[in-house]
Formats: sequence, C-alpha cells, structure tokens
Amino acid sequence: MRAQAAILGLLALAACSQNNDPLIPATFERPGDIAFLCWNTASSTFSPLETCEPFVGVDDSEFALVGLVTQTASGEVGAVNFRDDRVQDADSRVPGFTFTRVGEFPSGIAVSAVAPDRTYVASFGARRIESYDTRAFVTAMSVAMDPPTSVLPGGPTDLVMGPEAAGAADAIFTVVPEAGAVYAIALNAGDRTLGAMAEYPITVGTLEAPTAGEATTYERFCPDSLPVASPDPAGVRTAILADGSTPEPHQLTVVPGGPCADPATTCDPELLVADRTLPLIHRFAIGAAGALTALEPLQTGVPIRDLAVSPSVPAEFGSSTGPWQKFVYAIDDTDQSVMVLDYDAASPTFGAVLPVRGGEEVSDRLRISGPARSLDVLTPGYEGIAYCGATGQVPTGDEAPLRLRGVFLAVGLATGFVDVIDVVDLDATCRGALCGDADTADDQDQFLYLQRHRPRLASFIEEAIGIQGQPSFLVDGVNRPVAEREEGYTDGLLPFTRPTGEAGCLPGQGLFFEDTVCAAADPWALPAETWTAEWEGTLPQTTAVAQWDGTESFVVDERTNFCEQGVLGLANVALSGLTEDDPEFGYGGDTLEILTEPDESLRGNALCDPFFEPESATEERADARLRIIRAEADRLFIDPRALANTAVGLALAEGCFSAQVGLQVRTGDSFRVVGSSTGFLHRVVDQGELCLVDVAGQPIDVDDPATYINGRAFRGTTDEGGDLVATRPYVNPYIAFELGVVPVTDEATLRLALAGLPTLFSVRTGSRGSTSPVATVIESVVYSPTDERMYVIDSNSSALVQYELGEFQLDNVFE
Amino acid sequence: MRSPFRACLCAAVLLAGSGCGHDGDPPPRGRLYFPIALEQSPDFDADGKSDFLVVANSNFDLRYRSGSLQAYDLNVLEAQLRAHCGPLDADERSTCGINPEEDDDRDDLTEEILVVPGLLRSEVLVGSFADGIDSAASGDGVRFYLPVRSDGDLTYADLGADGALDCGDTPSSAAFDGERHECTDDHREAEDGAAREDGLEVPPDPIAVYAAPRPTGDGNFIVMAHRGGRLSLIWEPTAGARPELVDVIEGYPNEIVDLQADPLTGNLWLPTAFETVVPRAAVALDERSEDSFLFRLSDLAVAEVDFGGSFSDTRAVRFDPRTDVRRAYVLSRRPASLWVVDLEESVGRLRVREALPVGAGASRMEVSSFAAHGDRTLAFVTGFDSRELRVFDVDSAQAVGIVRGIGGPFEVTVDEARDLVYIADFRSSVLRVIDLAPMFECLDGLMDGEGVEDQCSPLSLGTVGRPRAVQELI
Repeated sequence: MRAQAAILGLLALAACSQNNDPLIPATFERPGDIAFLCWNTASSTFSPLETCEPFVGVDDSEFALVGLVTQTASGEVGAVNFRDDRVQDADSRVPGFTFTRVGEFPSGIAVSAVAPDRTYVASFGARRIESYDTRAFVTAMSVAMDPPTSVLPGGPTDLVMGPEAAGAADAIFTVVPEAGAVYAIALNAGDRTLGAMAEYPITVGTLEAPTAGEATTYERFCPDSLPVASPDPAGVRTAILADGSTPEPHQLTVVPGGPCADPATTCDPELLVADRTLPLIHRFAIGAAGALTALEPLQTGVPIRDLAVSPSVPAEFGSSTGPWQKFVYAIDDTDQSVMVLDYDAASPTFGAVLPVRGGEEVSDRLRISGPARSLDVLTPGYEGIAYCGATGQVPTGDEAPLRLRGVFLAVGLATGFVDVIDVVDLDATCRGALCGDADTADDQDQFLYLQRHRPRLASFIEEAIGIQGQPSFLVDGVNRPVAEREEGYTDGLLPFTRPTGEAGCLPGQGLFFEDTVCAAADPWALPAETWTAEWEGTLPQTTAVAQWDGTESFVVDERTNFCEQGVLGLANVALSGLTEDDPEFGYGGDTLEILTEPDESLRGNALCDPFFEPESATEERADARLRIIRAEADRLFIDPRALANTAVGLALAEGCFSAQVGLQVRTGDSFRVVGSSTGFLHRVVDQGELCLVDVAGQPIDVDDPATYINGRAFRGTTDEGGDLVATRPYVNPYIAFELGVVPVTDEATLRLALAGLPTLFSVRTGSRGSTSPVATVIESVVYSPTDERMYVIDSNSSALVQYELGEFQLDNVFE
Repeated sequence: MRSPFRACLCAAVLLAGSGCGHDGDPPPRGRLYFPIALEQSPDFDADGKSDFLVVANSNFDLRYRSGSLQAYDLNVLEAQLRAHCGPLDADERSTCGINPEEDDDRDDLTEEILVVPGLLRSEVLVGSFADGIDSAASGDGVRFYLPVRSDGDLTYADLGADGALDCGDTPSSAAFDGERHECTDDHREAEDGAAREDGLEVPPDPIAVYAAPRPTGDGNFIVMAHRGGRLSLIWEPTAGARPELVDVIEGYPNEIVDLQADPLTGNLWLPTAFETVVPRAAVALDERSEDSFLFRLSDLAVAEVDFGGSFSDTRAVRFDPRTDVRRAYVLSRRPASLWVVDLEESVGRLRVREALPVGAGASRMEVSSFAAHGDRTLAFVTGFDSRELRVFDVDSAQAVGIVRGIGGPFEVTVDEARDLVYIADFRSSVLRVIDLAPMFECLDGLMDGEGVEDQCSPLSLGTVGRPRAVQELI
C-alpha cells in the first residue's frame, strides 16, 4: 500500500487546526445508510434540498441540512443536524440519546429531494417498506408509522427514490434478492404515502461475455513525454468469469438522465440493478408511476456488489463542449475489484468494459489499494464545467492535489481507506509547471500525472519518479557494491541490460540508481513495497508435512499443491518446452529442505546426529536439502543417487527421520525474489499433476515486462578463473536488475525499497484527529451534492465521518 | 477459548501457585455456576435428535473447591420448557424457566421457575476453570475433553446412552443416582507416555481443546492450546484408553482463543487476540506415537480488514458445514465483525469476502445448516457486552435475526433437530434456550407469501437454572 504520510499528515493537521465540536458520546448502533433533507428549523417544516444549498456553513441560518441515518443494530433511524454539527435526540424526556424505532434491520432509507415530508425505510427484518412523517425523526414529535401496505416476500436490501429531474418522484423502488425481483411502489398523490406495488421479476436471458472498450484519451502529463503505459484494450477480459443461474438482485441505482452522455440529448431515466449471482447489471426504463420496462442488461462477466454512475463528462482534457462520455462504475463481487463500463447509448461500445490500468496484462480493473466495499461519484464544483484559467474561472492559488473540483470516484475499501480516482479535474489546467502553459500555485508543482480512471496523486511532484535510498546487498554478511563501483567490477549489481542484450530498460520502465535498477516509470503501476532477493530462499506456502516413500519421493496431503506455489524440479524445467527467452530456461530445479529432527532414540547415530538442532548457539544444523528432480502437485521426487552421496540422503536412507517429516521448498542456486505486497511471481501451473511452466498461456514478450512473471534471479556465470562470462538479467513487471558474480557461500540478500513515490489520494477513515486510528468497517461512501461533502459510514465505530472536498479535510465525526 | 472476565483474583491465585482447587465446599448439587462451555451428545436413541447437553461450569470466582460437568436430558428440557414457558408472551419468557430438582435449595426460586425431575441426568466434579469442551465418539458412547486450567491438564469423562458421566469413579453403566463423583486423578491428566522420554510435559494453562478420531487405529487424538503460545498433542492408544501426551510445540502467540480444524485439510486454525495473523498448525499422526507430531504451518495474515493499524483480535473460527462450500467464518472484535473467508483463495492471507457488523464484545459463534428449512446455513453470534444473539444468513451475508436482553451470553450451541439454541449465560449462571421456530416460520412462510411479522427473529423460550447476578455471587 502506498505510504499515506502526506494525506494523513494533512488530515491530522486539519483536524487539529479546525475548531471541531468535541466528540459526542457514542449513540449510533452500527449505522448503515443515510438520506438527506432540508429542515426549516424556524417553522419546523421541510424544504426541497436545493433550498439548503446557499446556507451550508451558515450557522445562524434557519435552514439546516439534516441526515437520517439507519441504525441496523437497534432497528432505529437517527438524525444528524449538519448546521449545528450534532446528533438529534428524538425524545429528550428519555435519558441519553433516543432515536426513532423502525422495523428490524433497516436496509435502506429514502427521502425525496423535492417533497421531503415523508421518509421511506426498507426493513429487512420486518420484510416491508415503511413510510413515516419525516417529523418523527427530526423533531421530538411522536408519530406512528403509516399503515404498512407493501408486503414483500422476503427482506428488501435497498431502497431508492424514483427520478426527480421533473419534480417529486411518484414512486420508490426496492429489491428482494430471495424473490429475484424488483418492486415499484407508487406514492399517493397528496400525502405521498405508499400506494400500489408492482413486482418485476428478473428474467434470465442469455448470458454474454463482456466486450472491450477503448482506452481513455482524457489525460494530461507534464511534461508530455513521460513514459506512462496506456491501458491496453487487449487486456480487457472478454469472458464470463463467474457464472450463475438464479438472479439475486440486491442493489439499485436510479439514473435520471439515462444512458445519454451528451447533455443536449434526452434519454429516459433508468433503474440499474446489481446482481450478486448473475454476471450482469439489469436495466429498466422508468416510466410514469414507476412503471418499469426491462432493457438489455449490461454484460459484466461477474456478479456486482455495488455500482455508481458518473455524470456526463468531456472525453478530452480541457474540453467543456464535448464529445461526451458517461460511465458505470461497478464492484466485481468475486474479488472486490472495480470495473468501468461505457454507459453512453450513442457510443459504439455501449456497455463495454473499459481498459483502465496500464503496464499489466489485465487492464480492466481500477488500481485500488484494497478490496472495495462501496463507491460513489463525487462532483464538487462541477456545475458548468469551468476549467481553471478559463473565462470566469480565475486561478485562486489553491489549486493543489487535495483540492477536489470536478468529477472523482470515491471507493471505500475493506482496509478502512477511501481511494479517490480521477475522472475530471477542472483545476488541472493550472497544474504542472513543466507543461509550460500552467499557472501553478506552488513551486513544487512541476510534474503532473493525470489520466482518467487512474488513482489521484495526493502530492506535488517536484522531481521525476525514481527509486530513492540505498539498495542493500549483503553477501555473507558483507555489503556488496550497488553503485559507485570501481572500474572492472563484476560482482554485486551490474549496469542493467535487457535480456535481448540492448542497454537500458524494457519499455515502460525507467533506469534508476546508477543505471542498475529498472522500475516501472508509471506512478500508478508501481506499488510501494520492498523487493527482496534472497539466496536460495524459501518459496512461500510450501511448508508441509510429507510422507517419505522410502525410495525417491515425498508425498504430501493431496490438498497441498506444489504447482500452485511455483515449485520446479530439474525435469519440470526440461519438460516445459522453454526457450532462451524464458527466464526459467536452464534452471536446475528447486530444493526441498527437511525441517524436522531425527527421532530422539537415534541420537548418537553418526549419520543422524548432524541433523539434530545443536545445543550450542554457535553451531548450525547440517544442511538438510535435496535437489528436486521432479515436482508434482502433491509429490516431490529427489535423485535416488542422493541417498548415497549426500549427508542428508545417507541419513534418510539410514532411517534417521520418521516416515513423516516437515519440509519446505527453496530455490536452488538462485535468488528467490518476492515483493512485500506482490509476493512470489511464477508461471507454473498444474498440468496432469505435473508442474510445468505455462509457456503457452503466459508467453514471454521480450519487449513487455508485464509478461515476465518470474520469481527467480540468477547470478552471472563465471569461467574457471572466476571471471564473469555471462549474466541473466532479472525482470518482473515492477522492477529489473542484473546480478554479477555474487560469490555467496552462506547467505545473500538484496533489498530494494521503492520509496519516495507520489502519494496516492487514499484517506484512512479510522484517523480521527489526534487519537490513534480506530478500526473500521466501511458500510457506505456517500456524496452529498447539497453541501459538496463526502460521508463515510463506519459500522465498527458506529460513526458517520464527514469530509470537506474543496480543501480536503476531515470535518466531523458523528457517533 | 478465553473466559470473558480476566479476573485478577484467579490470575493471582494461579500465579501464586496455590492452584485453583482448594479445600472447601463442593458446588451445590444441580447448580449452574459460571457455565463456560457447552457440547451436545450424539443421538443415542436414534430419534434424530441429540440426547444430552453437557455443560462445564467453571467455578470462576473460586467460591467452591471445584467446578462441575453436568449432563442435561434434552428431551426433558425441551418438553418442560415448551409446556411451562412456551404459552407465555415473549416478554414473560425471559424470566420463565426450569431448574433440576437436584438443586434442593428452593428458598429463592421464583414462581416462574419450575422444578423438574429427570432434567439433570448426571453430574461430576472437575477442576475449576475449565476453559472449553470438545467430544469425540468413544466405543459405544462419547468422550468429552476439557482443558482445565486449575489442573493444568486435560480432563476427560465418558458419557453413556443413559446419560451417566463416567469420570473414573462411577461405572459407566450406572444410572445417575443423585450422587456426584469427583473425577479421579487419572481422568484429570494425560499420561506421559513416550513423550516423557523426550522430556516433554503437558504445558500449563490449557485454554482450548480440539478432539477427533484418529485417522488410523482406534481412539481419538486431542490438541490443546495453552497460554504462553504452546500446543500439545495427546492421543488414546486404543479406544477408551487413558489419553497420553505425544508432542508439544511452542512459539505461538500468547493469546490463542480458539482451536478448530478445517474439515477438508485437517489443519488447525488458532484465532488469537492481539495479533495480526491467524496462526495454524498441522497434526501428523502415525500408528506409533513416536512418529506423530505437531507442526506449525504458515500464518494467515489479517490483511483485508481494518483493525486500526495495531493488531487484530479474532475470537472464534468455524468452517462451513457443507462439504461443497469452502468457507470459514472468523469472529473478530477488532473490528467488530464476522468475516466470511474464502478458503480456496486464502493463501498467505485471509481472503475476507464480507465483514458483517456484530455487537460489542463478540465472543462465540456456531454455524449450522438446517436441512429442514431449505438448507439454510446460519451463523449464531453472541455479544457479551451487547447482550445479544445475532443470526446471520451466511450465503446472503445478511443479519436475519436478533435476540436482545441476554444477560451475559457466551458459549452457544445449536440444536438443529429441535430448532433450539442453547446459550451459556455467564453473567447469570443459567442456560438461555432460544426458539428458532418463529424465525423459521417467518423465513420459510414468507417465501410463500403467507404474511409478514414485525420481524423474523428467534424468540427466547426460557432458562435452565437459577438466575443469579454476578454481584450476588462475589
């Protein structure tokens, strides 16, 4: 994960410098959802939401923006007054905070932005939609629920208002996964209580594979020669990745303008429905009184957890007159990644999955720092699409990474962070001095990286991206040179040459640190992590209990699969059909190391004794490694000759070890390379139980580092005199280096810490000022266009966290 | 398993080395006293339902000189509770209950508590601070295993089809005659066995136990977790024999809380407080104890949830009972949530698919499939501080029911055949019996569109035992 120092520091400073109200004692009970309304506190009536817009931040205004927050644990709805920055007590006669009781497990809440006198609540526990006089939640007035009229065949999981572009909605929509249906409930004219309900079962048509769309052209790089890999449409997976047969619709989104990107055109409003079983997004056209007409679904290839829709956005940077685009953002429920779909009906690639990630084989998922749980689109300052520096939009001098003005995607993660993704940055025209045409506000604002659907960078970039710090290379306890070498050196790290022999790095990677290390120059492609190359290091997840068959192999439980962990024996390499372009070519195979001691009764046996753990700290256990000749999914074969010509083999033949031993696999005569977040890379697959390098499915492209899925680095070979005669550069999608002689006899470790990279815009929602971070479970990320703030609902600390977007900072925490 | 209270009293006693077994009065007959663990017996009479509920009482405040192990007749329990408390309104049921007639102190029994003969089938005395229970088939009956901290060892007792607990002092064929026996020494510690030659001893302070049949040979094997980060492997050389120590390994985190085995791989998962990983272990069993051992597997990093950057705090793990579903469910206090874990993708780190909010002080859980209700698979989670039981549908990842107002819910076990849940209420020293029928009537009935209730939650049926607030007991 990217270092969050800058953003956290700014947030901490903001929280400390702001005169925040003291935290109110905890009152929320696992909040889940929020709806906004505008309350006239003087007359105790409710106004359309837009009424509150001019009065945001005005403490003595009679209008207060209020949030109604569902409390899933207690079956209640609580109100938060954002003008006064306090939680409302629904009944002051009762000690402590009191909220209004609704049905058990409220799963959704909706209030009309135009006619907010009624509030609608979806109750999963009570299996119904409830409507209330809104005063029941905001004032101390005790008001009963309206008589329930809508009986549902199961628990509803979401609730949304109908479109309100042309006035108050005349229907609300809910969804019941168990019933596989969407429900439209008409609102009675006048009192807007619940009227007739219509059921719309989801019908399963033919599932189709998604199609690939085009890469974005919305970008600005300063200077424009920066080597950033563009997302490749060929990297979009056009296959159904997760199949299903029974629809389980569960989330709803109303799109008032439908799939029309061009603001000059008109489309019918649509209801988009996420399905957690079927690999598609259902679509309905919304008619009068909520009448739904099924449309062709969006084929996503995976079930969807949550989705959001962008407004119309210009296709080109700097444009405010078109062409236009519109997007659906969807969380893939199989792996909690986020995909982007073309949602412009006029586009030839309508419904296609877009490439959004560069420099990797798979390009169809946003780069986010953890599994996604919720998302929403932020549009602060987007009215009128006025770029900085354009007529009427004078630079303020505040243009900076933490000033959000435009369109952005906020993704709430399971790790407690919210990642922000650029879609439109209206201030970018005043950023990046190296573009030459920008009136930058800060001297540090030199380089600029902006590309649609890439993570927003949260810091100014004064210098070009590079590896900073000193790589450490310890060989048998001695530091080996990695730079400033004497002429003629052959050990340590060498100046990098490509596997094809040319000097310099592969395309998309830049040369750093005295020309010895290559790293992806794309700030979005390079996760901040430490790469460690360890001499004959252990392959992760290969520790297992194995049964010695007495002659030539160790058998593990059939549920262990060495192929999946990348184990290769000498014969596996030979049988994989490798060529010299393959990094595994000529590899002599991994080794297995016996970890357990001989049976205690054999202490004193000269063949067994070396393999007991020595009592003295200065002694070491004898080398208990055996070369793997052949690796199968659940069996490792050794060379039978080792039973006679190696110490451990003799011990094994002697019966020093029990039939069952613990073992682990190490690389042989090579360095095992792992990234602290990427892990161990390999192309080994299980083919008929034999571990083979997947040459056909994952071929090497000598010009594309993304294809070098390899975790073994080899040192240079020498002649009898010890002179270097050949080297084998090591390449993976993120880094590359070339080892010289490296005369290791015991231990050697090379460490490359990729630091100093631009900070990504990722907000730790558990950071609440001066106290240590709290644990969080993000339930929802919600944008409020009325006050242009982002709200994060955290069910673990039972908090509603409010963020200012204009100058990004934590505003308040309501608990 | 970790007791809900970290009592300085007992810690001081233990540290002082005086142990927690001392001269003094035994616990009152027929009395639940800080119940800490529950386990249902097999179905001896082949009526499709388990016959007995075995309860370990910890004697947590050391008021008495021992704890106890009790066997309750579930047929009598269900029949009496339904008859006595079932007809009452939901609100009245919380104070309604039954009590064994063996508890002959009737003075402070309220009118709502009915004295029932035949409810308590047998009772034996064990050491104080039993900290868990597990069972495995043994001969024609079942053997229960308890880690007992005051003994610093394993206690075992056999249960026969007649409900009699045999702890060494009572022939297993004898019916419960009202007499209680104290477990004999050989039932309160594992034999040294061949492990003695290796210089191994059962480590002190056992806090969790797992038992299962040996894959080869007769008898069962038992794994205990100990404070101080050690595991011990114990087994029975033959069915019904006295367990003997086989192996001990160390180097685990100090605060292991639970111990469960993945049904497919047999690997043991060890939820742990104050760590950022879930440690694991493997058991290598051979026909000879000398060739059997415990083995540490790679830890699973807790990486896809937000525990605030310090440490996570996992309290329980259960594996999906369906053979075709490879999921685990991890109960976490930090953050307070139930994690749905994809086992196939959990390599090196927990692959958390869902994090469902739970109540404060989440303590224990069970996951059960209900074949009679459309194979619904539900997770039942107790919240000691929030005083509630939450029910989750693990497939839809939704909370479907909640029972509030339980005094101090801790251990929980689910009786699928009877649609009942039994909860050890540690604060009140009673068993809470929760009726799942109203929940299923709602869940099952609504799918047919037959109507709607205000909620689909289970309802309290009644209690077993004499409710006592903790303040009264100390």
